[in-house]
Amino acid sequence: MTITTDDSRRVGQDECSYDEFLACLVSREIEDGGAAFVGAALPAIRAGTLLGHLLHGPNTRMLISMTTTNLHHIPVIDRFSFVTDWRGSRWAEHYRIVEDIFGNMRKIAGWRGFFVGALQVDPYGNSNLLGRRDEDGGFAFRGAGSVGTPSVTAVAASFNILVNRHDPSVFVEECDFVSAPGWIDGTPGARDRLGLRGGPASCLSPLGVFDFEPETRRMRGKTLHPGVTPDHVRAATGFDIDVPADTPTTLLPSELELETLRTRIDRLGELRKEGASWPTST
Amino acid sequence: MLASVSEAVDRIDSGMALGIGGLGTSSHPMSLIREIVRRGLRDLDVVAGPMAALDVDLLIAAGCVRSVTSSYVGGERVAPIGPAYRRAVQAGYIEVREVDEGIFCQGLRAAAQLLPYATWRGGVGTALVDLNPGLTVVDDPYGGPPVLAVRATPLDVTILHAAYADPYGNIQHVGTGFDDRLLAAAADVTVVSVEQVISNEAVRRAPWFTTLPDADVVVRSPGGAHPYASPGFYVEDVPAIQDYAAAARAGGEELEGWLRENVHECGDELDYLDRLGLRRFFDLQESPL
Repeated sequence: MTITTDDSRRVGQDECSYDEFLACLVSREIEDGGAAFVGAALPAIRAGTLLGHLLHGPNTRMLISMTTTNLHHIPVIDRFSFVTDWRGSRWAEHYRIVEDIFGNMRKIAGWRGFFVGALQVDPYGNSNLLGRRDEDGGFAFRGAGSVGTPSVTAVAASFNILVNRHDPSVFVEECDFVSAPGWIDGTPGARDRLGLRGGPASCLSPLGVFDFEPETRRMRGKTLHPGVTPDHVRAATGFDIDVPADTPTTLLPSELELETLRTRIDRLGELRKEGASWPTST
Repeated sequence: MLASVSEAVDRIDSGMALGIGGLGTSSHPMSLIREIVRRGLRDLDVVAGPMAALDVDLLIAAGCVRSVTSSYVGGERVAPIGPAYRRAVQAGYIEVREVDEGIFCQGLRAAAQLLPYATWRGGVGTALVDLNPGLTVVDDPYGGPPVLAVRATPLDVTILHAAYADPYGNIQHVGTGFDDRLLAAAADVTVVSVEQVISNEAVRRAPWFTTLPDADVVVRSPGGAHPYASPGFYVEDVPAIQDYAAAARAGGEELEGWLRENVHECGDELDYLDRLGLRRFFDLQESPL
């Protein structure tokens, strides 16, 4: 199958919601071929993964609602509220069994474009989904758990980190607990020494897209969302971060992205209801 | 082989390691869980999921749980983190044996294979190793990088909910069956509640539908996964899950009231369904979008 060429106009910031923008960013991480995991907990990731499939991943296998399938030809991919919603099985070509998924890490080793949520992230992309520590080493705040992220990020070709807040309590010098190791301490071969493949490629926040400097493995500004300045990012980050003055602006959605998103994935406008306002500062 | 909900729960005692099937908001053996709460069993080491829902939260709220082994306890959009789970962990009332989904499977696999531990790649370099005494990092005897050694998690009893079974313990799921087969393989006794008991002849007509051939106890329990989904039968009852989450968040008298009304004052599961009402239950079978 061929990949759609997108030369449509970029919309303005006032023409889309932040969650729609986020879904478009996620979609650009989806490559053609292989498989992409469609979660349900984070609507923008779900929508973005499907959008990537429709726009430029026609041969990508979608792992959705505990099934494996291809949805490229489905006119409208309705939203489900939960990971295991079995109404998604109407599209299934295969049912996914949990112990088989994790019995097949050799396949997961090919994954790119997998997104990990985080309560905290450090300069090297080590991240935390477990919670925050109290003074006695217990939990001051208990998170929901690491789900499948330690196993998947240990072997995947690369992964991305998504945080829904950008402030010094989230972008920290050191995580209270690490559930998904990033570039560890940044030294060359740090992941290899622990037997970990791949590593974090990028981190998406409400302020911008960040990647990791190839030598030091420290997080740096790649693109900043419209209206965000380097000073703004530095003030909101709890560690020293390199954000050059000439950091480009993150590309807004194209008309084709937005139209496909609104008519085939988010027909009921959920991404416009939730998080409709753009987070500007902290 | 065939048993009532009450007879089936006779197989479970306080202090046991209990496997619980289903995943996310689907296929949890809720009628058996409600009976465990009614009995007031205590100190259960619950191994659930790997992605548990508020089924485990309910057992925690009712004081039945000593430890939890699961990669997630919550109700996704309804309650991203299980309210009773969060409170109990933060107060130190229950122990969490921190795992992710892959590590969870390896612990069960080791138990199923009668091994003391199984090795795994993920988890090395994470805080999970510090938080779970059943995880340690070991050298690869063949000279490669270190690997995680996941201690086996053998189960005394596993409880599951599926679509169909015959009286001989042949179980048929609709859909994936999630991690149910592995939870059964790691257990001494497997108890499965089902929507319908079917004849052995029906099983023989299409034996490839059988997902588990050796359940020890089969319980006829239509509606037994409510308020969670039962694939092929009904979808999640979202308002019912929200009601529980609100009561669990409030705690105290509101939670006590919820437990009284939804568990203790229901003499049995038919009583529970009576209170729910036919209209509401049948509406869930229309799987509206």
